[in-house]
Amino acid sequence: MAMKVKEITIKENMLLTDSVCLLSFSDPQWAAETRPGQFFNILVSRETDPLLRRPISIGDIKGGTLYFFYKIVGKGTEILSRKRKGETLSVMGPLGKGFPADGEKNCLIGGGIGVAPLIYLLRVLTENKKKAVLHGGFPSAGEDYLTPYQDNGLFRSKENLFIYTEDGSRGEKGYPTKNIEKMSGNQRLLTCGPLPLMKAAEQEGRKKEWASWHSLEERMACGAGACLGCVVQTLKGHQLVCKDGPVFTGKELPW
Amino acid sequence: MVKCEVKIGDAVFKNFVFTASGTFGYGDEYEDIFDPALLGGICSKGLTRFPREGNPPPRLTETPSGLLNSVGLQNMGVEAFLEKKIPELVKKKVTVIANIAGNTLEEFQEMTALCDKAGGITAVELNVSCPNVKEGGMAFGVNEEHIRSITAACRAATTKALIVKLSPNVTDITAMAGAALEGGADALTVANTLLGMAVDVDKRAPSIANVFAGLSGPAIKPVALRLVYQVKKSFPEATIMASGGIVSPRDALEFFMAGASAVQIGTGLFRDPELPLHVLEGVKEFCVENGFPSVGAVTGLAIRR
Ligand SMILES: Cc1cc2nc3c(=O)[nH]c(=O)nc-3n(C[C@H](O)[C@H](O)[C@H](O)COP(=O)(O)OP(=O)(O)OC[C@H]3O[C@@H](n4cnc5c(N)ncnc54)[C@H](O)[C@@H]3O)c2cc1C
Ligand SMILES: Cc1cc2nc3c(=O)[nH]c(=O)nc-3n(C[C@H](O)[C@H](O)[C@H](O)COP(=O)(O)O)c2cc1C
Ligand code: FES
Repeated sequence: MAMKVKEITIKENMLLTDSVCLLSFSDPQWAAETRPGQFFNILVSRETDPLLRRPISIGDIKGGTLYFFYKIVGKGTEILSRKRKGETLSVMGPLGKGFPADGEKNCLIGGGIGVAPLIYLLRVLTENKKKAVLHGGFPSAGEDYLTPYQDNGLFRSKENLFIYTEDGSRGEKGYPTKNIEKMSGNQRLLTCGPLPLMKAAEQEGRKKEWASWHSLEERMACGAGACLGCVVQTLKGHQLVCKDGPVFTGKELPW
Repeated sequence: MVKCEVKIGDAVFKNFVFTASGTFGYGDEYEDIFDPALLGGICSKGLTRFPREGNPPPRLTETPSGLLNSVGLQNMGVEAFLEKKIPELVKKKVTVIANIAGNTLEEFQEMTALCDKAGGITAVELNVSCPNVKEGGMAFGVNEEHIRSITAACRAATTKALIVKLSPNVTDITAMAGAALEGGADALTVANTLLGMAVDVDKRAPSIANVFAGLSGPAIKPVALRLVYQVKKSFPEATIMASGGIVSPRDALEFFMAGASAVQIGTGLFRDPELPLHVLEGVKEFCVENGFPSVGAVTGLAIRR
C-alpha cells in the first residue's frame, strides 16, 4: 500500500451545507487500496501561499470514486472550495493507519466534520457483514451533511444511522454520545470529532469495558512521518499522528 | 552531458541536490515516491548523543509562504541511527550526511568520532545553528570562538568530509563562516531556519508550544540568498551548500548564481515530494540550454566583484 502523488481530475466539488463541501475524483487503484480512517494530502494551490498540503480524510468510496467531505475553515479550504469539475489537483496518499474494520459489533461516534471518516468505515463494516451503527452529531440541521449526501443505500435511518443535533432541529436533541449508556453487548467504539466528544465517548466506553479507537488531528507539514511535526503525547511517548495514527487506541492515549 | 558531481573534502557526491536535515526523516519515509539514491545525498534528521523526545505539540504553524517549526531535535540518538538505519540505507546505496547537534564541544567531537568509525556515512554536518534547543544550538552558532573550537575538535575526530551548517540568526555571517573554515570545515551549509514566532489571536497565546520556532520555506529565500552571496564573496574558495526556501529549479539556480555549489531541499518537499528530482532535472536542463558544461560553471555568476 504505497503512498503516491497523483494528478487527479475533479469529478465534483460542491457545497452540501453552508460550509461543508464534497469533493470527488475517480481512481480505481486508490479506491481499492484505501482503508477507512486513512487520509490524503491535497495541494490546494500551485502558488506558495498556502504553502502546505491540506490533510483530508477519506469520507467514502463508491465504485472506483473517492469522496472527501471538508469544512471551509480558512484560506486553504476556501481555495479548494472554488475548484471546479474538470480541474486537476495534486493529491498524495493514502496516508496513516486507519480504523480496524473486523470487529463483530461496532459503535461509531462522530461529531461535526469528524463524522466524515466514519461514513466509509460504516460502509466497509457493513460490506464485511459486521454490525455497525453510526451516531453522528451536528450543532443544528443546517450543518448536517449526511442527509444531503447521496449514500447509495448505505444509511438506514434509525437502524444504522442516528443523527443528533444540539438544538434538536434534526434527529435527537443532544450529543451523539448520549445513548452509549443504553447500548448492550460487547462493542467496539470508533470515534472521530472534537476532543471533548471523543473523551466523553471513551469514558462511556470504559464503563462497559469496550475496546476503543479514536482518530486524532494535529497540525501537519509532510504527512509522511518525515518532519516529526505532528506529534501527540501518548502513554508510549510522542507518536506521529500522520504515521502512527491518525487512529489510536483508547488505551494508549493519556486522556 | 552536464557535469553534476560535487566535491567536498575528499568526498565526491554524484550530484548537487540534497535533502535538508529534519525534513526527510531518517531517509526511508519518501521511498514510495522516489529513490533517494538518485540524489547527491540526504542529510539525516538532526542527531544528538542520546535520544530526545523533542518539544511538546503543537510544533508547527504555517505562515505566508513559510513554515514555523519547533520539533526540538526529537531523534533516536546517534548510536541507534548508526545501528538501525544506516545498514538499510547502505544496502539501498543512499549517500548519507550525518547531521549532528551536541550540547557541548565534547559531545560534538564524540558524535563525529562515532560517525567517522561507522561505515555508510560520507560526511558529517555540524548543526551549530538549530534554534530550538535551549541549552545548545543557538549559543554555539552565534559565537565565532565556539564555532572555531567545535569545528577544530570535530576535524581532529574525522577524515570524512566535514560541513558546518551556519545559523542565519547572526549579525555577521562572514565572521562565522571564517571561523568554521579556520577550524577546518570542508564546506558550509548556508543557512538554517530563521528564528520567529506566531500568535494565535483567538487563544491569546503563542501558536507554538515552545513559543519561538524556526521559519523555513519561500519566505526566507531572499535572506538565505543574501547570506550565501556574502559568504561566497568573502571566501571565494569556500564550497557552499545552500538551504532556505527552494521550491523550484529556478530557486536553486538563484542560489547557484549567488555562490552555492549544491542545494538542500527542505520545506519544499512537503508540498512536492518529488521536488529534489525536479530540481535536478530542471537545473541540468538550464545548463544544457545555456551551454554550461557543469553546474560549477554557474556558481557565483551573479556575484559582483
Ligand atoms: C489526519 C487529518 C484528517 C483531516 N480530515 C479532515 C476532513 O476529512 N475534513 C475536514 O474538513 N478537515 C479535515 N482535517 C482538518 C483540515 O486539514 C484543516 O481544517 C485544514 O487543513 C485547514 O486548512 P485551511 O487553510 O482552510 O485553514 P487554516 O487557515 O490553515 O487554519 C484554519 C484553522 O484550522 C486549523 N488547522 C490548520 N491545519 C490543520 C490541520 N492539519 N489539522 C487540524 N487543524 C488544522 C488551524 O489551526 C486554524 O484554527 C483533517 C486534519 C487531519 C490532521
Ligand atoms: C520540520 C523541520 C525540522 C528541521 N530539523 C532540522 C534539524 O534537525 N537539524 C538541522 O540542522 N536543520 C533542521 N531544519 C532546517 C532545515 O534543514 C533547513 O535548513 C531549513 O528548513 C531551511 O530550508 P527550507 O526552507 O528548504 O526548509 C529543519 C527544518 C524543518 C522545516
Ligand atoms: S506531518 Fe510530518 S511527521 Fe507527521
